[in-house]
Amino acid sequence: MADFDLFVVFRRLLTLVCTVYAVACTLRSLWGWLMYFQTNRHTQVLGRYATVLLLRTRWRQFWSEWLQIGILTLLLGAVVWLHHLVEP
Amino acid sequence: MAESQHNPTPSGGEASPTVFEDLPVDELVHYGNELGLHLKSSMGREELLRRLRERHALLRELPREALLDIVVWARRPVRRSATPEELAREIARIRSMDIRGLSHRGVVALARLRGVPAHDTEPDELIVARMRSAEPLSHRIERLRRRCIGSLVSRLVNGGVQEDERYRFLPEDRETSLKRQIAEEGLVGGIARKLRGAADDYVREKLDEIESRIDRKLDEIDRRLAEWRDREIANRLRIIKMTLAASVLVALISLGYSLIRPR
Repeated sequence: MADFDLFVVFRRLLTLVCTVYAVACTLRSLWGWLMYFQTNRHTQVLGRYATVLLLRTRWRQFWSEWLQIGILTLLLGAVVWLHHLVEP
Repeated sequence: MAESQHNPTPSGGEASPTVFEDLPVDELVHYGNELGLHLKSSMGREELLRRLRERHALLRELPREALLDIVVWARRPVRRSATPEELAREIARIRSMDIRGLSHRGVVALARLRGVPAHDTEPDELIVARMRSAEPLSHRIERLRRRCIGSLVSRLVNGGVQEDERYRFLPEDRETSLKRQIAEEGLVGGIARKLRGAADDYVREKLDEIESRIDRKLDEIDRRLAEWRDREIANRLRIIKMTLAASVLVALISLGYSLIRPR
């Protein structure tokens, strides 16, 4: 009971809730689109077109955004790692 | 029928100014680009019409033989009876700068169609140098890339043997005379066939025109959807970036708190 820290519990609980919420929302959205695209013949064609449209995306045109996201992720990882150093 | 003869679409013949002036801006841009102009929707309707009128005037001015020289030199498949506009469409697709085998009048016409000033009295070398300097860098790189690939593929397929077949024009549409049709099928049958043929041609031209317009509209829809997709992806990425930035900020505050709090 001596090493009990309410903030640590809150932090872990928050991580768990946020992760589960994000995954559930994403899966529900994907499932909703999948069901919609199988409603009838027209939406099936629409679904195939949407797939082709997504496959034709040129991801390299967003290179600066990807770079910034990568740098921020690395920075976040480094700061979290520093937490472990400060609080062994 | 008169309108179908002045059809501005790729499938049709020569466009009269009275027809193309009625076209919407996107069709004007497409039509002009087909004739070798570099038009954009942002230029404004008046500017587009002015450039198209200039291009029509140039096509009327250039000798037909010079245009035929160019398509023969570039080995483009055309009929000998092709209209100047059809020839201009084919010439607009030519990117080559290697004028070996092209007549002087052809060089002058090619330069003028590419928007480069050229005169009959000037030597070919000078005109070509002017064309090269006016060529965008992207076209030059693209041409070099295609030349390398062409050389590689022809070496693989033909074993380096140069194909040198004489150019031949496409065969002309054979028009059967009314006299011959009546002789073959009788008076009523011959006239009926002639009328049916004319009606078929008209309907075919119209259908081609409608089809090409639909194709262009579909391309436009596709382009807009692609733009919308890119915008949406950019927005999502921006949201991820902002979330990460906020997370980093909170992590830094947390780290600071961990450092200064009493142990």
